[in-house]
Amino acid sequence: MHLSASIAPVPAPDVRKPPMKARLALAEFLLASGDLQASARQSVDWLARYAGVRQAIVAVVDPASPHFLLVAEHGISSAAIADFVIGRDDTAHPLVQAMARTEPTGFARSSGVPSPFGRTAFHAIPLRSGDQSRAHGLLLVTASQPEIDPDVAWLTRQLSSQVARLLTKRELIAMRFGQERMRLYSQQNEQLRRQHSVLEDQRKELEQTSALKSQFLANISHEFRTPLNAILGYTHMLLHGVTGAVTDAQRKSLTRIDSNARHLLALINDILDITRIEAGRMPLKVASFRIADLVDEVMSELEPIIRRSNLAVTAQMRRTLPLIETDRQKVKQIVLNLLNNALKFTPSGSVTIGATFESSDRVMAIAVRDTGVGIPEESQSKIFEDFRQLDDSPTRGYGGTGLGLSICRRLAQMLGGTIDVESQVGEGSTFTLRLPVRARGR
Amino acid sequence: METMADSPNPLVLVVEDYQDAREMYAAYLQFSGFRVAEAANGLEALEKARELMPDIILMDLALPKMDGWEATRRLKADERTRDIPIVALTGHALAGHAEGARQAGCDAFVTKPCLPDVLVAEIQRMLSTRASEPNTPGRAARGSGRTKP
Repeated sequence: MHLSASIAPVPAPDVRKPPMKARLALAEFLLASGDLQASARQSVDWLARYAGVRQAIVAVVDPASPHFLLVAEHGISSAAIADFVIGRDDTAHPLVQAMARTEPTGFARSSGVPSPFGRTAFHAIPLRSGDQSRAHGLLLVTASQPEIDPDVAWLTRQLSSQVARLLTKRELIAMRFGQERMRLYSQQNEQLRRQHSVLEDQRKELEQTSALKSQFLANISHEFRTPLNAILGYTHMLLHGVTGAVTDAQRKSLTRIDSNARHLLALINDILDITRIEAGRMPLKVASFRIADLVDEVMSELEPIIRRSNLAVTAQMRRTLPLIETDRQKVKQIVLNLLNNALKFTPSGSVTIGATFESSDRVMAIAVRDTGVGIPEESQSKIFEDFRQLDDSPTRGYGGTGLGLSICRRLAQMLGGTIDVESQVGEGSTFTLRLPVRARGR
Repeated sequence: METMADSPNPLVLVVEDYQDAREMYAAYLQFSGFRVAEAANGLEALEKARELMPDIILMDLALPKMDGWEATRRLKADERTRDIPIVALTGHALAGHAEGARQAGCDAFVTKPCLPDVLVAEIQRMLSTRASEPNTPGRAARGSGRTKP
């Protein structure tokens, strides 16, 4: 015995019999590790080293993914792994079925089951820790015999409880995170709801303020008219010699008072107009009328200015234009303003008012074309803004309130129409009012 | 106008509470050849109208004691004064005011500020319209045809 023992050949390190030390080392590693991937990697390496496994794969079920998650492999080409995709809920798949079992499933060589091992026989071992009904994943190992090697079985137990521990922990964290998120979410919801109600209150307040402001401006402009009426009236009477003859110098002063008072009146009227439009208190009075009649009326009202201008002012439109059904007063105000502007900004040449009917969209286009100073391209949109004139300097030479076009555009919008300008500096401008033949209103 | 030339100048009752404006219109109307009476509120307007039987009334609408709408309604409801044309005068350029004035019975409507010559032109227009209407004979001739037949 002794001899035989002494002559017995020194056994080669038996890979099939890992020393206790190796098991202990792995168990310690797993116990200390909180990392699923590192644990799985260590496990497959251990299998290769101590259990003689040539190829191995650890796949786990991750709640966040619809597929099995490959966490570690040994002895497999990356191409084979890339092709190895199994749906978690693909219950017809032999490997998913294998995971549902409590015992390992052996797949013989050429079993036809798709695997990264090609045609090599393998075992599919569910990673199920003893006290849990569901498996967390699979350990796939190539097999040279139908039975499970005890070392593989031992490792499976270690790895199973490790995977279960880590995945459960992860789920718990996710769950806690979810609850925290829910809490934050409902907190944010509450905050949003509060902000919304604050905004709603502010909106109502603003609406009331805006209505009050409109009423205030309407009252103010009325109050302005009373003294202004007296200023204009008495100036007029003085200028007409009602109270006796005036000298040229006095006449000059009185004329200045008169023109400034008129300017103030124009401002008050314009502001009142805007206030009423903004407050939605300018009702539409729709009636049908002929554009040609309206243009005649506007031209005769501006007759004194037209005569003084020495411009060729003409109206060009067919008498066969259809009747237009809209607010006559507002259209008149717009056309009056456009013609007035054309006369004001045209030192020489002509002003033409044309009207055409665009039957395709049933729109009446009224265009006021002049050969005046023109408007540079970059200013063409600005002229429709409040208190905007091309020449914003305090000594601007053209007078006016700077509100005319902004009122025109607002009025046109009220009637469902538009105003546009085409212009070239030095060549002239064309302002076109387009109105639906039947006012749609705002 | 022949009838006007034959009779005394037409009498205008100016009803306006704002003294500066009232006297201004009065001065310009006189300058333009009218006779003028003045009232500073609605009640005074009723009294003066019944007493003086003016040819035309210029009526401010916002008045103390009794406003212009009410005064107009009463004048139009009264047999003696219903045919006197009333020109409403207001600082409110609101459509509702014009409509309210028309419903109260005003025959015309002018908006303040109204230059004296514009007002006078409107008064002359009203008087000549009345004079040419066959169913109100002799409107321009004072004192005749005032009551309805």
